[in-house]
Amino acid sequence: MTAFSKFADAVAELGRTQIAASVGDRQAQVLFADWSRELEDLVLEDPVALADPGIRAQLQSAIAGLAQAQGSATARMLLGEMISALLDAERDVQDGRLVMERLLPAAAARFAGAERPAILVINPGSTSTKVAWFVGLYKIRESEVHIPPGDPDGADARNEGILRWMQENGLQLNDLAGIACRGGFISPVPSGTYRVVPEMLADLEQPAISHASNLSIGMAVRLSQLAANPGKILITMTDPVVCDEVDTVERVTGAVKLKRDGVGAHYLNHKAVWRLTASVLGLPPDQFNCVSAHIGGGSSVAVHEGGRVTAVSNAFSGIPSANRAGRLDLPPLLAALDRDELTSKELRSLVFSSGGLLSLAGTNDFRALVSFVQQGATEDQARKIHLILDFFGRQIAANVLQLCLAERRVFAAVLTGGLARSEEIASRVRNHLAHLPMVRVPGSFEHEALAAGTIQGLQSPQWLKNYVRERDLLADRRRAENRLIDTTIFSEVIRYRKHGQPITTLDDLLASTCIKVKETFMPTVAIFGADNEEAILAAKKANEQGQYKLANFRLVGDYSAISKIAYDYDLVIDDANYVIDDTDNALVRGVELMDEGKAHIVMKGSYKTEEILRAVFKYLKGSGRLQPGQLISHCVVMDIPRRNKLLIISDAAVNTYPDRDKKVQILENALKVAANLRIPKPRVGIISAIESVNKSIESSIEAAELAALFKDRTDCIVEGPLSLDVAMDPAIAHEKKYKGQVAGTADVLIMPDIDAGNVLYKTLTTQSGAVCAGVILLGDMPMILTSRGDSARSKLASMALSINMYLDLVSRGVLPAPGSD
Amino acid sequence: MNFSAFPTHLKEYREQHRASVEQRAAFWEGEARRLLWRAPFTSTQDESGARWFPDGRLNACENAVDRHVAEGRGEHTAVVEIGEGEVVRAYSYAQLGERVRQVAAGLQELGIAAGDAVAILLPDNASCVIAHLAVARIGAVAVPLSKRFSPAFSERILEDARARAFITCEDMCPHKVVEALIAWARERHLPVVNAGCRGPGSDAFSDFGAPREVAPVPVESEAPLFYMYPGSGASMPRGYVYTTGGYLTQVLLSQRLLFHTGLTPDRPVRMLVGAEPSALIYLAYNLWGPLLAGDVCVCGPVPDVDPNARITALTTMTDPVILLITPHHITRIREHFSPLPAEHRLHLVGVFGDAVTPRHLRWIGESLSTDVSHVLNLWTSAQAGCSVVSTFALPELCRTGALGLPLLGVAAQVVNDFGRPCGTNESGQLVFTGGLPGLARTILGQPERFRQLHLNAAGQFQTNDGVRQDSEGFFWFMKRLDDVMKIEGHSVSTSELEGILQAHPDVREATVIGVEGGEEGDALVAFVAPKEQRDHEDPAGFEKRLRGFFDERAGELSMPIRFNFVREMPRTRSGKVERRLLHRIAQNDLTAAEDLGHLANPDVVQDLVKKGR
Repeated sequence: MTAFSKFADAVAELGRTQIAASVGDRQAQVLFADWSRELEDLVLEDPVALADPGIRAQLQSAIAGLAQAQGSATARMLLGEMISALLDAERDVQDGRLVMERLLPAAAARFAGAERPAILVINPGSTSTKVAWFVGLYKIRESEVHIPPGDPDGADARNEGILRWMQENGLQLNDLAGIACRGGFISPVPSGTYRVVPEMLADLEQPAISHASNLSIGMAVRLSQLAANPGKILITMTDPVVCDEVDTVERVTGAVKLKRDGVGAHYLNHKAVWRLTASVLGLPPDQFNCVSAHIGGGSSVAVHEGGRVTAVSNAFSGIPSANRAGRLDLPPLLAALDRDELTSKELRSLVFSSGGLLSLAGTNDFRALVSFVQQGATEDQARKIHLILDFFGRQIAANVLQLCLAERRVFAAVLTGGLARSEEIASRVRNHLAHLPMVRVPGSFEHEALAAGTIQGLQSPQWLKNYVRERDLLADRRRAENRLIDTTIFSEVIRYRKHGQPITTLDDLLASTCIKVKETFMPTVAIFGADNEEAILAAKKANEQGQYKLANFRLVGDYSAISKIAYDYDLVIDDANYVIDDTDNALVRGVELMDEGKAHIVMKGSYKTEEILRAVFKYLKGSGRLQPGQLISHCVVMDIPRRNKLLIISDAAVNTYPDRDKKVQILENALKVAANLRIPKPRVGIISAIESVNKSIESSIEAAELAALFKDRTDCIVEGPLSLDVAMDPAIAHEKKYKGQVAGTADVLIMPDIDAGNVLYKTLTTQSGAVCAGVILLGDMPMILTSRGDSARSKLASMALSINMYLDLVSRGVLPAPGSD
Repeated sequence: MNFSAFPTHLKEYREQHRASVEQRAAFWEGEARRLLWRAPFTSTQDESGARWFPDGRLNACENAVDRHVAEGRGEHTAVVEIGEGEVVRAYSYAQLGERVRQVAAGLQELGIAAGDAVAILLPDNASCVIAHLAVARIGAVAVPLSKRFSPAFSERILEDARARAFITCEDMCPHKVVEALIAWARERHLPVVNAGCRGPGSDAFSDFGAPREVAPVPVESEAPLFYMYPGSGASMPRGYVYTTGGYLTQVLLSQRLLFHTGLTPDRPVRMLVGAEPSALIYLAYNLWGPLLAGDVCVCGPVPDVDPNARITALTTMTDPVILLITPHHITRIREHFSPLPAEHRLHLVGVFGDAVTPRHLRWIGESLSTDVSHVLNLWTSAQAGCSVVSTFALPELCRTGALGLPLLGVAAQVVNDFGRPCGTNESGQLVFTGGLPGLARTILGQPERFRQLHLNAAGQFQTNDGVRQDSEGFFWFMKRLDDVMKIEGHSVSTSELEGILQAHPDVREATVIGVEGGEEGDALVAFVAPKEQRDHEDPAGFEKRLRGFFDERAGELSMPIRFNFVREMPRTRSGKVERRLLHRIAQNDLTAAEDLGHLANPDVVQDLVKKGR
């Protein structure tokens, strides 16, 4: 053993020396090589030789020495190697007793040694149930109980298999002191061991993910009921996949609607390897901070900080794994979705089951892939395999590093899971993580950790966590965090760059209106009958805290009623942006304000639309602002998802069954809206059921006449009759061999009557997620009308549309600018 | 008395106001010294801030009557009683003193002494003024009753106040309340004093013996002057305690500031208040205020039917006439009223009691008073003694429609639901900070209840009025925050019920919403956020406990029909509970959750809508 003592001296020297560290490093490496060769010889003689108490003691003391010498790269490297070697050596001796001793606190380990409780571990997988039988610290049996193919799956069927297995192995249900089960997708809770309670079963009735592990709790409960004294059997669940104890800051992403949380990592194994490593270093677990990476069919990374997993990279959106794609770049993903190269269903499959290695290499078997390099791979294939290995190595290291923030004082990285066995992967990861000791604990310690949880629960029942309490506390905390993250600071920021170009979305419309208001002046909107909740809420949006600055408002109506609503909705009556005009008759006063030039645009409040229209119509006619023949009509501007421009529909609200002459005016009004949206030469479709004239369909005849009236116009293209699909979908227009210019690209649709118009507009808003802005045109004058069913965006867009149109009228000299009279 | 220093410009007023609030002790000391003290006070407020001029002693009647006689104003008119547009009888301060001594002597003979409560139920005439002064003269406490109160409610008041005598007027009979109370009092051997006056021309209390010298009994400043029982509210009467020194100081200040501003200093005004004699505003401006200031109290009906003729009759009086009326009154007379000629215009018209719209105030300015700035909007409440926020009869200090400015010495503020001050024009609740001498001190026998109902967590005095304050400092009324519902004929205040629920140790916050016109009439729905998780888990159990708690304190009548348990109340971004939304939810309006952009916590609404169903 002189080799060991020389090595130990060298390590001690490493810890002391500051100067000429490289000399010390080299010496330690040489001496370690000597010693490890000696150890290797021993292992060749006896596979479990390293578990010999004397040798373990040597390893343990060398580790303690190396842990003091963290400044040295060699020491870090050697430390990682030696911890890995020790844990590996201990793993299979004495039925895993040494592992259990490391997982348990001393008192619980003593209890298990003395009482020797029998514990059944149940861990259901998709086609089988893994089971293990512990007696005290010893795992005396471990097996996989398969469900015969074709047999119905379920808790009872699986339990029958387990009972058979027990019988075959001479294990008695009545001997059991506890059952440890895997848990499954219950509601999120912090880590720890929980007593199984009925609420878990209730929560599993609608699990977040349906997975075989969800069966384990039900299986354990039923098994216990078969025992002679079910009350004596403690059933526990330890560190389920749905653990969540991450910091608040980890919950934030760059898109406020999307929030992260801590669920979806291999908590059971993460916690186990963290405890094991801490134990080897002689530290209480909560004083040992490390990052653990579980790499396998799914991969996750967790950072252990003060006993809690404060951040994770979960098994679906972090490291790519054998079957899962891991984190993806969004722009190429969006492009692929847009081009239909990828469907959301395929994306789901990449994320959950067919991404990662399977997608890159066509197999999810790393060993097969690595050995293929030697067994028939072409040169390019071999290069690609190395590329893939490099990629995985880098991704794993990068995800580990991402969690190694300085303030966390991470002491080591622990690599675990099935893929940790692969030297190709492990060596690559190690190269990237040279600044940390890297411990390799391949495979998993799930059964040991589950049994350890039950033992500790048996030894001290008060240590077990209360599921309902922890679940609800966590839910409350997460909700509070959600509220914090959702707290509004500034509402939507206006960003509009396309000055002078056609307006193609309602957001553009809003932004462009804001800019126009800023450049010209802020008009004043008179709300006729402002004792109306909807109108006040809409007006508030238009100018909230100076956010949009679309208009000033005169709230015309009963002072008390308006004040009440303003109070309730926090509308700030500041006698500038919002002024209350106290009156008995808002129609009279509203028109008066228009006449005095104190208000410019009419907005509907508590009065009926017809009443307001009548009053305003009379005024406009009297003041000469409405030409004979001009008509009142309604236009709705639709922003339809997946359409690259806006669509104007008229008339869906005011004119019921207009004749041809009225339709001419409806069309003229719609063209005003199109001009306002800066559509250069609007394409108008006169809609009917068919695209050719048919004597039995009246609307087709009228459409043809209407189109004929406009055929010489140079400012627009009017075609009709058109069926809706030909007007809206270029592919169908092409298929139907439609020869006109509108062919699927209509900007304006003139509908045959109010029924058709209303059905179309409401179909779009309710079924396609379209947002709309409405305006009533009294000749040239726009009037704002929002209704209760409108969304907030729609209300705002409607106001923007009218204001934009009004400002256009002023800039074109159709209406006088305020103050010019 | 020197009124000339009153600022006429807004800036000056605001500066003076700031100084009066910053140096509140000195300011109120100066105001209190306008009264006659038998034992001078040595400090303005005690350490707790709850007691004003604690060691001073004075007598209210001496201040209101004897003092003017002693100072040579004995022949000045004190009380005028009008009938159908003409003066029925009038009393000079000297005559008034004589009558008061006569009645005081009678009361003493009945064994009434300082501190005893004396109930008063009289019509709006001189005898009412005399009764109050007589009670105050012997140091007793007046308990004004309203003839609108039910006999049962009035009896409960007499019991609550431990009334030792009952002054009424048999001329009012037949009247069921008066008759019932007289019978009730006789049954209990409670002396009933008849203030009857037999026909026009004869005097009030004409049954009483010859006048006798009764020296005014000085009482402690904090001794109660009267107990005010508001008619609305819970079924159990609540007697708000107004104290002598503080109340008189505050009332005198407001009488001076509001009604003498802009007048030649020593010219008395005639005050006519369109309120019942049991109303707080009547006591302030038809009784104590004018008498303390040497003005004239005009008793009798306010012009209502044929207002033109009546007001013309009023304005033939020599002194300026000030009429205080309610908005309801304006609506009534507006229909059959033609603008008065200039010579018959009223000097000032004050509006009190309810929210008044700018257009109504303008109408008064155009038809009743000399100018729109001579229309005052007086803010009052059942706990404030007199108006402490008002517009003034000066163009610079008046904004038509505004509630006005806080009076000198009054620290008024707009705060949000969490007691934090609101910014300019942001709406919130009007509160008073630092106390005022004239505020009600407590509720008789229920000090804890008083704190619960009227003080918020920050110790501010809550008014339950939603207001904003503009950049010039004017307050504008927006809405009453307290819904008063009629449940089976009883008035129930939702904010009061909220106070009761919030007093439960396990309740974090509570909102009570009135729902109108269901099948069983109006009803109440409560929204409660429990403090404890266990109560979220067991709503049925918690509801049972809450119902028991509520029943003990408010009774079955105002019990909410439904308790909804919520995590927290939906609030707007400034922290207001969104009552309109809760109202919709309470009425099972399925669209309640449609557009929630104005809320700070829209996520709580989804739960609520689900629960509401």
